[in-house]
Amino acid sequence: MKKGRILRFFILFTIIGLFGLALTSVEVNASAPFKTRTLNRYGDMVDTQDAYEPILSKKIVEIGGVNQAVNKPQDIFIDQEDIMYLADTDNKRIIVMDTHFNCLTTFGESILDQPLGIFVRDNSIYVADYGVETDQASGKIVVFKLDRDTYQVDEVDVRILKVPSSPVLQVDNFIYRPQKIAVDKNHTMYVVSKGSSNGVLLINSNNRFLNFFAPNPTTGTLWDSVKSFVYGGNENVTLTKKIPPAPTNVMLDDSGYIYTVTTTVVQNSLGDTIKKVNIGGLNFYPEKMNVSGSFIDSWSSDFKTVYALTSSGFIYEYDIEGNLLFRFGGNIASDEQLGLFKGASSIAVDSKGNLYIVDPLSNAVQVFKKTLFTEKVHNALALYMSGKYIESEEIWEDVLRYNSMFDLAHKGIGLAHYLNGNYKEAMDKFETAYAKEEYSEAFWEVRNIFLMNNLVKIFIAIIVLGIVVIVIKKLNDKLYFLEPVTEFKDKVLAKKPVKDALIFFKFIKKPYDAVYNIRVDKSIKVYNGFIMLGLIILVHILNITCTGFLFNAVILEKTFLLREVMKIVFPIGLFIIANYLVSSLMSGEGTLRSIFMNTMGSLVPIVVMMPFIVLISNALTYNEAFIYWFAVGVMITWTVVLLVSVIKETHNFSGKQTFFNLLITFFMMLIIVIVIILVYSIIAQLYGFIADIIKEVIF
Amino acid sequence: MKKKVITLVIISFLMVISLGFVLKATTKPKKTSLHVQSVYTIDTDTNFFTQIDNETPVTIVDKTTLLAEREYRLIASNDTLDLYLQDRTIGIAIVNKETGYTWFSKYEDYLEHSFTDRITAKIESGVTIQYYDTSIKVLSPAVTYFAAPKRAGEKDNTVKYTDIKENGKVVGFNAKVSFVNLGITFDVNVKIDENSLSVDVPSDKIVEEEVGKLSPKLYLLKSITIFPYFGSQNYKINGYSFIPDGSGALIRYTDEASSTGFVKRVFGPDFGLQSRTSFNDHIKETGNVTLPIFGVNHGYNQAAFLSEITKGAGAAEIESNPYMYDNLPINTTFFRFHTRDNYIVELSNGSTMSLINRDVYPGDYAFKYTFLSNNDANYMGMANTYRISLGLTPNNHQGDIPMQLEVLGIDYKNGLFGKDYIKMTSYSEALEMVKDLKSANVNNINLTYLGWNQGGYFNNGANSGKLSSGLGSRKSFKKLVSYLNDNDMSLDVTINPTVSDTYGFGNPTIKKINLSSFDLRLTSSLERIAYYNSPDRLARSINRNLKRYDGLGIDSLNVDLLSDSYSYRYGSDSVFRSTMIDKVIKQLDEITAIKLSTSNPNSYLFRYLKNYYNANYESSKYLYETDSIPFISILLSGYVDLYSPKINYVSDYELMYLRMVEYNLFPSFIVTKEEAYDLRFTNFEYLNSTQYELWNELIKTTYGKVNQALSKVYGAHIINHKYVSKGVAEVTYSNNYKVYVNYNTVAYTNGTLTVPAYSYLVVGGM
Repeated sequence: MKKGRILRFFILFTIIGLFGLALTSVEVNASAPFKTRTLNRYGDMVDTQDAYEPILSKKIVEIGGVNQAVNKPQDIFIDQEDIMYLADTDNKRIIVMDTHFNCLTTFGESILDQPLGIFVRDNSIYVADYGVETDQASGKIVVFKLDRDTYQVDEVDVRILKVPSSPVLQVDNFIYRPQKIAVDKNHTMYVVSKGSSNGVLLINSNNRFLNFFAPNPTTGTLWDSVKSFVYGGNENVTLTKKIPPAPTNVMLDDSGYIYTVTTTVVQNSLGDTIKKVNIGGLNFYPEKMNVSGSFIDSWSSDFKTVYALTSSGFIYEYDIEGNLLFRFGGNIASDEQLGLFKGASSIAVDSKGNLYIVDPLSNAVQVFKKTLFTEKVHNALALYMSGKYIESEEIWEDVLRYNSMFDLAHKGIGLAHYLNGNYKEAMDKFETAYAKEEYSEAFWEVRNIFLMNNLVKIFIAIIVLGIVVIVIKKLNDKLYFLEPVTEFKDKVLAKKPVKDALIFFKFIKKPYDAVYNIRVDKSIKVYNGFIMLGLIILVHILNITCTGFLFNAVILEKTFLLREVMKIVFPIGLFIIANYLVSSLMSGEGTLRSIFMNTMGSLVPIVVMMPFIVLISNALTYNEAFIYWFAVGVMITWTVVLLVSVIKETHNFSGKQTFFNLLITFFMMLIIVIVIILVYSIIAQLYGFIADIIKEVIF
Repeated sequence: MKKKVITLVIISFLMVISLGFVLKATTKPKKTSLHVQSVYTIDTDTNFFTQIDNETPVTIVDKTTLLAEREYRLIASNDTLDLYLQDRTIGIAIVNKETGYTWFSKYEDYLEHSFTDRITAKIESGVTIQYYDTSIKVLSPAVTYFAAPKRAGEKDNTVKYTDIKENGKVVGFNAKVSFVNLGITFDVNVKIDENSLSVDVPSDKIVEEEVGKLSPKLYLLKSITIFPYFGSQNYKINGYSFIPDGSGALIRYTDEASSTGFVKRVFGPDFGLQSRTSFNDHIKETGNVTLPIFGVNHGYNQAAFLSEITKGAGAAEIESNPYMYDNLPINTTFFRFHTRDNYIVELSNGSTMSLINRDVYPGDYAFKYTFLSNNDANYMGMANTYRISLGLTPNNHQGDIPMQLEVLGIDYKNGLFGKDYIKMTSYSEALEMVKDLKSANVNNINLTYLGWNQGGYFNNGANSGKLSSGLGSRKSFKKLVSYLNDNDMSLDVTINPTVSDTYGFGNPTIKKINLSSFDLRLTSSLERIAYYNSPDRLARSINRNLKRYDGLGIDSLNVDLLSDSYSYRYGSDSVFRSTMIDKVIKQLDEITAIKLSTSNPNSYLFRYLKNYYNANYESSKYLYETDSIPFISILLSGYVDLYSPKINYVSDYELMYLRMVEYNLFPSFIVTKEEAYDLRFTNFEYLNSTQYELWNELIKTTYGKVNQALSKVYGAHIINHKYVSKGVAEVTYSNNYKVYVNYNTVAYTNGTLTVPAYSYLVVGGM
């Protein structure tokens, strides 16, 4: 039972992090002209080892002994036998080649007008022909037969499939313009027709339209929904109809998944412009993947990874769950370099994992080969995905040689340790990989073993301790041998500075008394408040440095002391000043001193509780996370309640007055911040103005 | 009472658990170091390789009648060359008497194409300039050709020729070129001397005058190009252009059209004038042009020339046009000399002023063509010719080849309480590595210690001569040094004296020409910025530590960023790049007590160097380039030791072994004792693959393989390099060894000679 849960946990595959910062590096000088990027653990794009290397760019194909150039090729397809089909669009033909670009045959010159898409299923070659621009009825699918013994294509016995008959398609402005096509095992066709915003056309082998498939949702902005809410029922207002973006391309994999890509606007590189859909139309990819808005083609490789190509030549490689593994390639404006593109239209992968990318603007096909690093990652990933963590360990170790910052490799090794029962090593690796969920699991096991082994000892220790305490207490009641200690304690506590300092702890039990004391007893020095402030800062530092890995989101390497101190001092200071200003107008009784002292006093729950919270955070796993969050919740609630009541008492306000006082205080804080920003920017502008005058004079 | 007991129990319970957590044992599993095999089939047709020479000859005919027909007159003549001049266009022709081949300063067959008048003028003109019209607010250079057809109201450009005489003999001509309509006049001196033709433009003779009587206008000269079509040809003949891109590249004449061409500043962009912004951050930066040369070959081993800048390289640009570039069916390569560049001053509101300097850059512009005949008429001959003008001395090395083992010592990461220093490799650990490698027959190690001194590389201390206490004692450092010395190995420590950590504050930091601070993003994962120092201080900042180096036994330095050259302002002086380079050379002359090495150096540094690190092993592979050639290896083998880039980051080791053997490059690795993972959050985080334990086997195999081939030719010069078959290189050395490298997946057999598939073979000897 336990194991099943863990597996479920682990198969929820979190973001991969390879780490290695973006650099214009002089040292790293490898063969690919482009940088290979990946996502790090924080979701930023960072550089990594070359994942693919360009090995060839082919502009000219030898056809019938003559070198011929291709003209704006738009699609490429590679079948299981590694036969390559290139839609040489502006030459109105299809070129059939082996993967070394030896031409086997060409066909279609007399039949095709504008072949944009090609798909081969068994011995049938399906070509999506856009037709001629002037003839709206010229769009068609042409099915050719391939003779696999001679690799010749019969140009006579072809099926030409014009617009499929269906009442659904009889709408006024539907024009059949096939651009891309995919065909499943039953020879059902998935056709992308220009502007078919209802989705991919599903057409059966008898050219009958079945359904629209995998449509994109309409994406409305918040403003749109506000408009439709306001004008919804109004007949006088016509809102512009939102038309969802039409899919750009469609592809099938061997397991029957259909991949669609859509060219549309995405924000922050997050979206679902690539979808992995089953026949029921369910998208298996997350809705917020790291994508590009200009995807135009995709290909699912034999290695279970999926490639998506953008129109500018970037290639995104995703794993089975839709996590971005690598992004590479890209466009180049002013030069032509092997591995970079002017534009891109299509991608295909052969059985060896070589990538073929079509560049219609420079009329070339480029071939990329995966590097050893990627080979290892793919192999390890395949084992990892099928749950063979122990088998994958050795390959991950090798991946680490290429990139020691590769989080997934650390995690993979950690999982192997975990399954082998080496929970402590697993914890180490999970910490390195920043895999918190898995770390929590491993920690649970470690803690469990520890408790199993030591539970008896611990209980005995506690009982012994308890007995000792009780015995001492009892004895002391009779013999008073602790008298000097108690006396000393009382003496120290009676001393004025100590008593003053300890006034803050009165806020725990009797906050009103404490407030009253501070108001009345003017001899309590202000520096005690600063000591309290110091304690809060100390506790904050303790929190960010000592909180357990599972509950600590702070990266110590990216913090520095002054900023952390300011994080405490600035808001507290701002609050006190704002509250003083506001309260003096609202005839509150508090002086600056008493506001300061009492505010500090109201923060005492933080000082008291935080160390314990930090302590337990080191002993808890995510299974008991609620304890941690409950404690934090208690601390915050207690502090807020205390602060409100203290402010009320300090100024001698009624409840309503306190509420307004606090509201205006926060407003005041906002204003102060704005004023500070304004003053700063005015000074900066003045400086810039003077600098400009000096520059104008010099040049 | 009861409550207290329960609380106590709970607290102690929690404390015990957390204690157990804190004390968790940390045993690290042993790392495996697997040997990796790869099968790579990069196509031997691609420009990663040199192609087999096409042996088609060009037909050499006597062009005397053609010259007369086209109104060329003989100006000067010596034993090897005849210099002809076409007065109207300042076009020249050179007849090389050794071969009888005639070189024209324009595409010879241009009249056969029906070009427009303007294109014809462009090809015909011996002098082309770019200029700025100062009456227009937006500064953008316009171009004009000497023989350009005049527009309405314009006058013809004029030229006045005078003979240049040496020892009473006419050796060339002086042309006073006047672009009348622009008011720009300058001198061009063209002379022949033995087998070379030299061209120079004295900058003090450049005159810019206002033109126009009613509304006078001032035009300012932007650049001068002399003979842009010298030796231009196309695929109709067998030939190539050699350009100094990467390790060296050839553009063979083919009919494959290219819309892009090679246009690069010699010694890289001048960041004193332009900003470093890059819009294409997905593209790796291609290397700088480090050699101020190019070459042209016509016909297999028939005729060729090398063109070399002798003055003003800092302001020069090299341009090579492949077939159909700019829609012209011509391959041509030439230098363009900039007399001014515009630079941008940014104002605080985001707007900018585009400015140019008032005077032209000081210093003359000069280059020369050296004509090569017969067996010298190829890139080998070009390298040999250029080596002579570099003035290098052979290093006479022998024995096992060296290997660069770059070791990272110490670096820091930021933390809550300031810098947190991370030790990666101590002095004694470095010694252990060297000993370990020595025991595996890696006999000649050149240890480069990065982050060896106080504070590591990323402190101003990069230039400090003090040891880092975090890395061990002085004694352990000296132990390392003496071990290296005893075993004939060497050590160089990395310093970075050309930059300072902070701007000003007593540092001799310089400014850009636009007066903004001259900052530079170091290769650091913490994105550290440094500021260039005045080049005048270079020798001083190295020499002041000499005593310390001497005391530690350091006799060699790896100087970072030594190749960076730029224009700058220091105080009230503007110093332009050609002058800056002269200053650097002067400084290097003052550093005599210690040896220097650097990465990817420019040509003027070669004679000061012991080691050339991070050498290119291919061209930039632009699509118009047909071949990568080991030009730098040919130039420097036996003179300066060349090392490969860090093999840690090479994706295909097998291919790299072969390439190192072909290019005579020595292996180079970067390692640390500690796990590379420890580098997270440090400056060196980008070095994500360095742990010695993971790399040592590969280091040993690599060295073994490369040394086996190259130890036989260490210290010898490459005297010939060619591909005898597709993907099979033959490199001939001065000690009579021949190294064959076969990149194919099948064995290469030629008579008795068999080079195994994907392997190499060394034959010959005394």
